[in-house]
Amino acid sequence: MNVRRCDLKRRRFLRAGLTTLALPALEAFGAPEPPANQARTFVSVGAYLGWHAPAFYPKQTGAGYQMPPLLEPLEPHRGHFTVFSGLDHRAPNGHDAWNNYLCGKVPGSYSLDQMIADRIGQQSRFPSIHLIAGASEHTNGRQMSYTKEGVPLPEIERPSVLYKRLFMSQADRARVAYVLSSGKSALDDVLDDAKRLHAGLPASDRAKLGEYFESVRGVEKRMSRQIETIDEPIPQPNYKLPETDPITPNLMMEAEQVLYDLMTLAIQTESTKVITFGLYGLGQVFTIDGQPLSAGYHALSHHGNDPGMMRDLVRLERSHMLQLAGFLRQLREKKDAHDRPLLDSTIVLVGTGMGDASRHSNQNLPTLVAGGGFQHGRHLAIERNAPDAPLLGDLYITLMQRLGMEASEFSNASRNLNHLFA
Amino acid sequence: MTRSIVTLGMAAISLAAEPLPPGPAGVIRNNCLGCHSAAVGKGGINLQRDAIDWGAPGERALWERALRAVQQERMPPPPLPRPPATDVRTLSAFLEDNLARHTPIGGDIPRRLNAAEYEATIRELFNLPKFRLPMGFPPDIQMHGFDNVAAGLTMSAPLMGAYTNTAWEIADIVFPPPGRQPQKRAWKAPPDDMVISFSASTVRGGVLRMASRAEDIMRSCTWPARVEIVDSGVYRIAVAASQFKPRPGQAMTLEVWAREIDATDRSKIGAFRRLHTMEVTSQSPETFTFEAELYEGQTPLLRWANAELDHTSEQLPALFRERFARDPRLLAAYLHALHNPDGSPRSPARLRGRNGYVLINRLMQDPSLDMTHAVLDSERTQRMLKMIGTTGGLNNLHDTLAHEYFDHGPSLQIHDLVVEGPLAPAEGPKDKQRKQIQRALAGVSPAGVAPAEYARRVLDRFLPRAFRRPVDEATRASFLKIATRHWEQGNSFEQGMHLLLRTVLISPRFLYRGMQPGLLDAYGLAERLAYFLRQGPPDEPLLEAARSGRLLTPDGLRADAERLLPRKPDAPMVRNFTGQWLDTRKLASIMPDPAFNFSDADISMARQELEWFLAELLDKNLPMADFIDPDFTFTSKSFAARNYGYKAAFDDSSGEARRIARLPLERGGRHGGLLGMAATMIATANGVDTQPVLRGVWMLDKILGIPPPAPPNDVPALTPGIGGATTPRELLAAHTKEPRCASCHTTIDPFGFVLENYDPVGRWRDTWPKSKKPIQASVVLPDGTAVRDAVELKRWLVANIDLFSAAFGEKLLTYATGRAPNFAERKEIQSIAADMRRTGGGARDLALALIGSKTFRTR
Repeated sequence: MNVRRCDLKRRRFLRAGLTTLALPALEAFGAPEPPANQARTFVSVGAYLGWHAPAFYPKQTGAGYQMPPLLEPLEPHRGHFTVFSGLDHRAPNGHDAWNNYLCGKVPGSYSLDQMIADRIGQQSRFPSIHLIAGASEHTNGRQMSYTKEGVPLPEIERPSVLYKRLFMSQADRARVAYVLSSGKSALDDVLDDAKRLHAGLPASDRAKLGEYFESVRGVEKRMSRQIETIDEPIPQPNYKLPETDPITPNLMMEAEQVLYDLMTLAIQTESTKVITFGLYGLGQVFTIDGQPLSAGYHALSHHGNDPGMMRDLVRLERSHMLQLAGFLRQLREKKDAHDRPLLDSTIVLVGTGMGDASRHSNQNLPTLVAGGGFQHGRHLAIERNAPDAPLLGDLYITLMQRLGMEASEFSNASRNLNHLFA
Repeated sequence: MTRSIVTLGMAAISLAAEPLPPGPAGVIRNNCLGCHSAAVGKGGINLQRDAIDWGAPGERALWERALRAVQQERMPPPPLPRPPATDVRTLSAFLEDNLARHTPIGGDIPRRLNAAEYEATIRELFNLPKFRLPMGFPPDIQMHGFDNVAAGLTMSAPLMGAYTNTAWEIADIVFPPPGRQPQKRAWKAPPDDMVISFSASTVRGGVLRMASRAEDIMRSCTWPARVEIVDSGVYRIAVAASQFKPRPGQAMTLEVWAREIDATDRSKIGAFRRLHTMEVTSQSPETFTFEAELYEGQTPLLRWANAELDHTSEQLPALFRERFARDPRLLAAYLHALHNPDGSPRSPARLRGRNGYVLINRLMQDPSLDMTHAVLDSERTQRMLKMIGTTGGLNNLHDTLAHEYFDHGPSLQIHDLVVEGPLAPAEGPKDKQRKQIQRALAGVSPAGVAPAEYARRVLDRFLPRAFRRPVDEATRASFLKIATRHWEQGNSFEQGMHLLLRTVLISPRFLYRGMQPGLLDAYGLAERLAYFLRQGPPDEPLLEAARSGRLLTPDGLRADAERLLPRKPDAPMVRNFTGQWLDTRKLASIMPDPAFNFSDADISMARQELEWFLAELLDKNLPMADFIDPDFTFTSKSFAARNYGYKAAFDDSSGEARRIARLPLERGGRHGGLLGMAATMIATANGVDTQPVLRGVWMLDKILGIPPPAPPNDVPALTPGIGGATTPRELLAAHTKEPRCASCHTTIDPFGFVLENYDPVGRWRDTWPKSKKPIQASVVLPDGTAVRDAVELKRWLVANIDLFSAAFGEKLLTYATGRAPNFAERKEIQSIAADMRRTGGGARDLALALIGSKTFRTR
């Protein structure tokens, strides 16, 4: 039997948490106020089965466009986001390449969120957080986020796990502290024995084992930091989690709602600066307005241009947008330490790596950017076939610069779209 | 010790650079230094020198690269004229001779267990056959095409962190921390909280209706979305069910199973455990109550075991046939929906689910519905019924028909589900497993002996297995100290053992193999052979052969190699090696466009074909030419009929038609052999379009063993669209016009275009899609041979089979040794391959001879 998302089991969360746990807690509180037009937090939402482009792109360009059916739930936030059409990474087609979304031209390479996390995320308790909803099978090879070395990052699906990681209980902390400190003391014995082994090896082998020693020291250092900080206060937001984790794919919309709530809390407590959120899907049939949709999510995405299938697909995707609207509302209502709405300093990138899921085309990716202090309210249509047409990566460069990074390149892009926001 | 002196001696000799003789020096001066002088150094390459230090690896690499560029006619690049043939010969002979003489055999470094090896090792060490690495465990980087190459298997702090966490997890399985007190509770799952997956069920008036059965749970079952057992135990389960519009006298069999909530929804029902079976015979709700064990992480799963709507290739077409016979208008509606106006078949994807059901009903009401073909024996009807039995037909139209059952019955209705407990504790599978592992580690249960004695026995028995060689006393003592010291500090027995285990699992003696340079010793050889052929640690017979020294004799090595070299397609080595050698690992993530009607089952068949094929070649020791042009293939008749133009008559509805089997083939055909096999052609396309450049690169690297250099960074990806009137060939013609591209693409493109007759799933086609222009696959190969299509390419390959055999040998030894064979090693491989052909040796002989090679036996 295949087990999916193993690391998301409740029992595994402590160990999984170790890689990102703790660290100089709450340093961000009391940090100086960043410049008004600089963003501090980056959130990226990606739809594995795409966004239905004809319902996503407005018919008119510029400001005052008529809200397209898929984006109607976002109408209250019209002035706080920008819709882009005609952008992509010139990446290969095919479903297995959907992760070009944050990776650019080469799927599975250093993703945008990790570039950002490596630059501005390191001072937070969690350099980055990766969430998914709606997956009913493993996401191997289809993750959104990849490290510089091309390693895909594990995602959290259970709200209870995210919550426990963000706001660890006393008992959990005690267990972690015990395992860390006992493990750290035994490391010396391992190293002593390894040195005996090392002594008998030629130079090239010693270099290889040098990697081992260095890695052990890295782990040891992190353990020490974790042990030191394990008792530091962690904000306790007192959020009421649902009794059962909504991980069954049918409960995807509920999962989105709860995870958006927790994302808001994570941003508000400055626990992290980088969050990715993947929306997956397979056979789940959603019930909307009391009526089950006509087919499963994946079946609908292969609509074959049938009007009935496309109608249901748009209804389904609108539900995602409804959850997203709730997230944007919270980010506008809740204030940061400097009494500014969270959305002003949070960039929310919403997109996908697939332009047309029905035929697995990865061109012309529906993309939307909210918040981050940009001037919003327009539909910016890029003429994709023009010579020298801008790339989605050019937009990413603009986003990175807004986050205070000195970025001039992303994948195959080396310009920016700053002028479009001027 | 002796060996290292010899190595040092050699290094000392080669320290002196050898002067460049006048002949080659002239060739280099006249043909290369225009660009690659010290002053110009184009591309960072400087070939200007009076003498060559052959002892320096960097120098050898440089001249090897130069040799390849000259031999593959990439240098000097067009539009510069080709150098005179005598010049090429002079330089090639000089470089070949010196590289062969000066390159030492061996040269890899300690090799970290890669993720798959690590997982397999954990499984064997702890007898945890289902153990899986946590998702997100850092995957390995492929180097030289494989993920088990030493130089690519780097260690980093995050990876070490992952090993540390995994060690913690395993220790938690064997010596877990004390559990919590079970808490009794009740879950109520009304129909709205039951999962609807595809068309397995729906909700009508607050009642859940089930309609179908299938092996796939996602096509047949339902389960509560909000029940997840925390404490293993005995639970009381109450299900309220009724019949909806049953057939006269019909009894509906409702089964309750236990599923892991974390299991993939692609699971088959057989993966789970049946808890209870009941007969539903009444149209008013009846509550069935029973008690059953449920374990942590599980939820009950409901299945209608004898539903009429059965997702099999036999039953579904039969159901449709019966309906069509009763109602010609229904038949006419389906015919209309599944055909284009020109009479060609149309994909069933849009008929999926309720949408299709509504569409069919609407068509039936249409007075102008075309009844022309609406008889059972019309050609269209017959073809459509056949299509319904294919995976694409099943997956889509099963979904459509389910909605008729939801509306008109018979359906099985679920009104309510209640789970309550635990009424009593139960020992779950995890508890039983834990006790077994504890016993196996020491050969005695911890309850039977004192803690220190138990720890000592674990070290005697477990440590040499974990480190894959005898363990000296100092090492043993340092590990024993870890447990005893922890106990002295007041920790429990379990805590001490927990710590000991997780520490062993992060020792370099466990995480690395190949800790000994030069010729391998017996344990080193056992380890290399074991991870190569069984992708796991040495088994007991191998360790015994190592202990006795038998493994160091040629006959001893050959005997164990013969024993372990796979003969069966399900051997991990067969899957891992072929998947990486031929890139067919990609199949798991390529979803072919629905237009190809190529299902998951087809993908899996494509992969199996290749694995069965390789296993057969190894098992029967067939000639290497059979890799390219065999007189058999492994496939199912149904798959062959749909993909390979298999013409013989067979009963498509029989299970036999879907089973993989050896089918005879005429040599010299379009399919058969590694080319034109679905798996390889899918792996070299993207599911939607073919990508001739990818196929060309793949041919050069995988089949001919001459990988082209990586493309320059600033070149746009070449993914020709299939939309316009232009053919991909015209789009790509630009390649050969641009000189910078031409130097490689004149070699790459012919090998890609000659395969254009294979579509993205490997079916033969004569025209390009959309444009409908005839495919021109004729090309001129780099050696000047003109070939018209893939069939002629195969003939060319068979005539030059040594090229393929050496490429295969190189890939096999890269996988085995964890290093890309160097110049001298490639020479050894080439000469073994040529010898094998001369002496009539087959694929198995070749593999065994390669295992006996110095290249294999040296680290």
